[in-house]
Formats: sequence, C-alpha cells, structure tokens
Amino acid sequence: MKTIKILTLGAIASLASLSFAGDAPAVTPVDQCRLALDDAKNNMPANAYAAKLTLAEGFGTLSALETIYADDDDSKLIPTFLENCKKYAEIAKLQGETQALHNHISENWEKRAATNRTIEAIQEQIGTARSGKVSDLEAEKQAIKAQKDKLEASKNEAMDKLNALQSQMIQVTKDARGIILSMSDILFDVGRATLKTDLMTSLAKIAGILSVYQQFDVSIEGNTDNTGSEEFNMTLSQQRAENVMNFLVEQGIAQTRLTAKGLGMTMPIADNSTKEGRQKNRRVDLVITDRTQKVQ
Amino acid sequence: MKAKIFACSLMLALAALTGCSGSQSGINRSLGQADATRSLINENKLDAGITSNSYSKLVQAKALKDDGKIEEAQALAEQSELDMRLAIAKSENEMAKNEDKKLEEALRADEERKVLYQSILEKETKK
Repeated sequence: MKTIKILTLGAIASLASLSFAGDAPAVTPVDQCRLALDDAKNNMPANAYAAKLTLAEGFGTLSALETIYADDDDSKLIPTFLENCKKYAEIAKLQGETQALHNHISENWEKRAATNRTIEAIQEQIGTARSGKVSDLEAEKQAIKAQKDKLEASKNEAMDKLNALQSQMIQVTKDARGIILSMSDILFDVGRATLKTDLMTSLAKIAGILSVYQQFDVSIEGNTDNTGSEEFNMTLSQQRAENVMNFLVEQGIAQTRLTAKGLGMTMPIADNSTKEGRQKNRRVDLVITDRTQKVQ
Repeated sequence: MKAKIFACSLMLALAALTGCSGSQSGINRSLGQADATRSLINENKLDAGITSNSYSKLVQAKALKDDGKIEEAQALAEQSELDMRLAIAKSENEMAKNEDKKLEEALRADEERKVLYQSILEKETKK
C-alpha cells in the first residue's frame, strides 16, 4: 500500500515536473481523477461491494470528465466533476476500510467463540479434576475411618483384657493419658524393690496382652507415700519401676516400648495423712498409651 | 441504524449508476436524490457541518437549474449528495472502528480468562 502510494505520488510529481518543463503534458484533471480512483482501489477487500459500486460511479464520472475535457479543457464543469471524482474515491476508500474492519470484526467473533469453547472445555476439565479429587479424598477418609475403627476395636479388646486383671491389688482406670494399671505395693516386699510372685504373674499376663496389641507403649511410674526420706522414696520408686520394666522385657516386650521412672512422693493420688491414703499412694502405675493415637 | 444507512446508501449508489444525463429528467433525479440523502442525514443526525454545506450546494444547484445551467446544476447536486454520502461513510467507518476496538478488548479479556483457567487446571492436576 505504502509503495503504491509512493509510486502514485511519484507519478504525480513526475507529471507535475514535466508540466513545469512546458514541453510535456500537464497533470490533467482527468489524470488526477484517475489517480485518486486507482489509489482508492488499492487494498480493497474482495467483499467490499459498496466500495466497488462507489468506485464504479467514480469511474463513470471519470468518463464524463474525459468527454468534457476532450470537448473543452476550459469547461466550467471540470472543477466540479474533478471534485466529485475525488469524493467518490474518498468515499470508496472509506467504505473499503469499513469493510476491512467488518471482516476483522467477524474474524474476532469467530476467535471469541473458539476461545469461549476452549474455556468451557478447560472448566469441564477443572470440574473433573476436582470431582476426582473429592472421590479420592472420600476414599481416603473412609480408609482412615476404617483404620481408626479397627484400632479402636483393638483398643477396646485390649481394655477388656486389661480390665480382667482388675483385682484388689491391681486397679484398672482410664484417663486422658491412656489406660492406667495401678499396682499396689503389696506386690512388693516392704521397703524393697523385689517383685513378688503375684506381681510377676500379673505382669506376665500384661506382657501377653502387650505382645498382641503392639500399638501400646508403657510408661512405668514408681510412687511412694510421704513416710521416709525423699531420697529413699525416690530411689525405691525408681528401682521398683525399673524392675517391672526389666521383667516385661524378659517377657519379650521390646524395651523401646517401655520407659521407667521413679516419682517418689511427688505424685500422690490420695491423702498421705491417713493410712488408707498412704496405702493408695504406694504403688507402681503402668500407663498404657496408644502410639497410633499419639501420631494422629 | 447501521443497516439502514447501508441500505439507503446502496440504493442511492444503484440509482446513481443507472446514469445521469444532462437532461431535465437527469437534473430532477439528481436533485431528488440529493434531497433524499439530506433527509437521511438529518434523520440520523450526522455531521451538521457537512449537512449545512451540502444543503447550500443543493440550493445553488437548484438556482443553476432555474438559470437553465442544467449540467452545472446536475454536477453540483451530485456533489451535494456526495458530501452527504461521505458523511455517512465516515460515520459507518467510525462505528466499525468502535465496534472493532470493543471486540478486540473483549477478545483480550477472553484470552486472559483462558490463561487463568489454564493455570487453575494446571494447579488442580499437579496436586
């Protein structure tokens, strides 16, 4: 388009320079009309029918102008015809541009439709991906619940078995820490840490339960009343706890599942001013905790 | 409105193509056509400057016709009409430009939405 314009202007300039030279034909109104129409014809979209009709009118005016000019190159009609011709060219050019815009608009509508179809397809894919995830998540939740139920059932079963150990010498309770087996100091020799046979029998049963229910860890805590020195009580409680732990290890319980600590008189569960209270405070607690619940 | 302008301008163009001679009927046709175009311009409230300029040419053409200068009158009537057709062409061009611009913006927005949804999909499928 640019090149054609340059060539057109060049042609006008050449014709003009020739006219100044005097010995060559001047740029006649006919030439000017034709150049304007030819310029308007350039880059016209194929479907610019209105523009083409206008151009046809313009060429009609050019023919008329040629006739008038041929008859009388000084005719008063020439300026008006030339201006009309230029106007046809201008209108045709504008109509051509407008048609090109309409063509571009149509292309863009098609592009929009295609883009929107793509968006819809992506939205569907997102929906599918999300619903897939929901069902995966649901399955995972159900599996977790099943596992939890299984563990809970196992725990209840263990609890039943541990409850069966309940006796005058062993109290079975449950608190936030887990299942607590409180063993009376009757099961120990007075002032000593040696395990009595009854205690060993009970501990063997506990070991049997622990070997079946592997999810349980045991914290063995030795406790005393407030009689005697603090240091003695601490040492005695520590030794009793360790002896219980060692016995359980001997019964095949992994040491990694067991801890032993002496708490001395620091953790009384009853009033130390009464005989009954002191009796309750002298004990070894087996705090049985569920490892799987700790993880959760 | 656009369709109306297009239909009218097409009609006028076809009418003009049927030929204009220097005859009395030719000048009457040209003047009638210029008048009709002027009505169209007024109806659609196009460029007032062009309307008044073309109207004065139309008045002049009628005067030339009365003076018996038929060919001059016909050429000027045609020019009056062409001025108005140019105003119509400019108006149509402007409307098309506006529509094209708006559509370009809408298309750009659609493209941005597409990119956004694609990134959402990528995130959803990566997880």
